[in-house]
Amino acid sequence: MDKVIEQLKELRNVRPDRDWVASHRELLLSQITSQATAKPQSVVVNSWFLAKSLMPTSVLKFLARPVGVITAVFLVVFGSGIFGVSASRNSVPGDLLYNVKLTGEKMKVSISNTREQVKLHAEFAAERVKEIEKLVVSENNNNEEKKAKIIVAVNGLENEMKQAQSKLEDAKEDNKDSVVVEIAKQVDAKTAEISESINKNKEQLNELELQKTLIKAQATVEATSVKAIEVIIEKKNKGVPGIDEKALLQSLDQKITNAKEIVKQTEETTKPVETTTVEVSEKTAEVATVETTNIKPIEINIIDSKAAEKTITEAKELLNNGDLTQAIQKVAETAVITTQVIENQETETTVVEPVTSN
Amino acid sequence: MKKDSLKQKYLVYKVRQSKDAEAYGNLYDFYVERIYRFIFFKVNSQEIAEDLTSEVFLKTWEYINKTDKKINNLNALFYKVARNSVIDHYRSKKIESYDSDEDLMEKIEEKRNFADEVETKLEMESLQKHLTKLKDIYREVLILRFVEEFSISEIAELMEKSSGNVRVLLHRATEALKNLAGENQ
Repeated sequence: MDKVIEQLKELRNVRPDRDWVASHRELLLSQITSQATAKPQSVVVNSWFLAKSLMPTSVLKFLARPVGVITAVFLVVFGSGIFGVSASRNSVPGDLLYNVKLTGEKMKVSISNTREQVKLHAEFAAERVKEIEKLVVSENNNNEEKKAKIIVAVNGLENEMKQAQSKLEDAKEDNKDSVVVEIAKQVDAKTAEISESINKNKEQLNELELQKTLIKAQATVEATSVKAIEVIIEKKNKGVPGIDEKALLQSLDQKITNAKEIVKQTEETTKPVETTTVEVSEKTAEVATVETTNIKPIEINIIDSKAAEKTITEAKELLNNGDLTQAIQKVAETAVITTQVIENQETETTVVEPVTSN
Repeated sequence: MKKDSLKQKYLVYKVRQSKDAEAYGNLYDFYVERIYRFIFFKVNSQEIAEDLTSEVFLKTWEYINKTDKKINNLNALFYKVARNSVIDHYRSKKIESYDSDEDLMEKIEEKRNFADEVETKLEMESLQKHLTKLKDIYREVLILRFVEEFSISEIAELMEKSSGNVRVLLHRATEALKNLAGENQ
């Protein structure tokens, strides 16, 4: 064999850097996992594609016709129900298999690392939103039961978002910076989808209490997206390459707009509570003392809303000066204040109810 | 180079049917070195080879998940995507392969540095230097045949040429390399 050919074969020793291979693998899997929303398929469809993938085309053609005929007969005789996907996957609060679904999710989280947990919590939050969508359009004559089920899903959504925030905080310490940044971007995108979906559901609900619950959940979703951006900014400050500053500025600007919108919605939902209190005081002289205690929390709400608006203005100024780190902290402060405002309202509502019944 | 094994076909099935990222991770493990090497010898830069290799794996994932066609030869698919990515890279950057001696020396230097990193022998450095002086198509056919061990028909499929053409190309490429290495003198 020629010497030059022998030497050419030696070029097989040229290999990529091992660290690059490992880190790129993780980054690649992280990128493709975000697209990996597998559509559930029945056993028959799966078997067909498996056979198609493994068998040579000639064998497949030979087998396809008789298999097709037998399958068609089988489907006609037995119906397609038995090939349905796992029932728990489509369950909603109140269904028998709902707890099975939640347990499965918890199992997944328990066997994953912190980075994967962040993604899982965001995915499960999106799943809760799908449940809310199904419940909102469901034909249930018992309104109280329907409301209770929606509240279970909304609480689940909030819980998942809070867990995602906590895991994002942990992920800040993770040294696989590029992967963490990619995950934070995915969480940001997912929260945008969730928030949009909440908006659609809010429009369909007439019940004030449910609307307030959804606004509170939306504030938690926004807080999660703010946390994701905070992680990206922190990694950028650390010198992690490949972070688009322009996109980051736009994203931060969007967070400020969203925060404004939530504060506005929170203020709007405060008004009906005030009206109820006035009506009660007009009807019954005995509740005059109660009226004063009821007004106080509303005043606090107004003050808190103003505080939220102030932090939003400060955030905008900081953003205009290019101080991303301080700007995101101000947006995060706004999210905390807004959540407190809504929680205050909830406390207020529970005080009013027994008084009006007297 | 053997055709896709049953295991690889199963992994492709899992990627197509359930967008299984971990299955694609296994395919990545199998192909990453080859694809990187193939690109590296075409672009002569570790950094660009890494970027293009990343691109190849993302593009192939997208292709597998979008196409309705049966994937008979995953091996050829990866190399085709890699080949096209290199072509796109040169088009977008408007890089002329070896238009000046200065460029050539820079590229040889890069190669030397990389060779040092992977501790290849001085002879190998010299061979790589000769390879960079070859026409792109000669270099490609030599790498596919002798480094990646593709059969003539596989190279023909990949390069969209007839088997006869590939044989002629391979003969000319080998002769050209031997001339550069001084074996024919």
